[in-house]
Amino acid sequence: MNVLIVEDDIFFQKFYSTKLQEAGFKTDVALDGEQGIIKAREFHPDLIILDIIMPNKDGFGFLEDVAKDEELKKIPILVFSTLGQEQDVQKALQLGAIGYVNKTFFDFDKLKTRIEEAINAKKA
Amino acid sequence: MSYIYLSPFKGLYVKTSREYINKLQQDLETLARDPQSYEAINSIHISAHSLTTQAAITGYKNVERLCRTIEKIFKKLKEEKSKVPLELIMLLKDSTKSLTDCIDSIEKSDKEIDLSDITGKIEKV
Repeated sequence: MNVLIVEDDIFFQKFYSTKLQEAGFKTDVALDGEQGIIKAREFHPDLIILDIIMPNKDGFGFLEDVAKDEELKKIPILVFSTLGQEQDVQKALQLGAIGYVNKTFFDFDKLKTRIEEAINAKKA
Repeated sequence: MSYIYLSPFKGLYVKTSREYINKLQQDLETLARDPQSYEAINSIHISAHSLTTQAAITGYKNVERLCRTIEKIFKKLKEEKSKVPLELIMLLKDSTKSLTDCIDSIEKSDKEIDLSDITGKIEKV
């Protein structure tokens, strides 16, 4: 399964990529929303994990672009959430994200389950 | 979530934290010249957000609290398109020195330094 991580923070890119790869996922990363759109078209991910606060194009801008693209909008998107971002997460869900992952409370089993459920729901 | 579990990533945490602190320092120089620079305000918000979330996942509570305070202030400044008060710019310059010392301490001994004084001053602005 291919997972695209759209995240400007190198630490989180590396951390989440490493953990997902150890579990057998293939991953790619994008530094912002603009690069995220390009990578999504090239990498054909089964799922996207998306940060909200990023330079250039933020997570909201990415979701708005995805919603206009017939192919990209089929890809399930989970957003990273952190403390104090509850309103941002709600906005992201309204823009088409299917759920969220707490970025700072890392529970890999939960993350893996969320990813697999999201991908299986898309295939159904 | 234990620190030990994340120890393979400690070097990366120290490296990226230093990069964000350098960026903060550069953006503060911009703000000192132009206290209404949206680009600098936005950039500080992003750096503070990143420092906060990295500290949160690695368990460095003092860094998390200081940077979360800065993040909240700059989120508001960004939304309101406000001018950054000079007093805040000066305090943030002090905070970057404190953060640098803290990251150095983490690198050396895995321990944070006390940041409550500078955090309290920024919270009061």
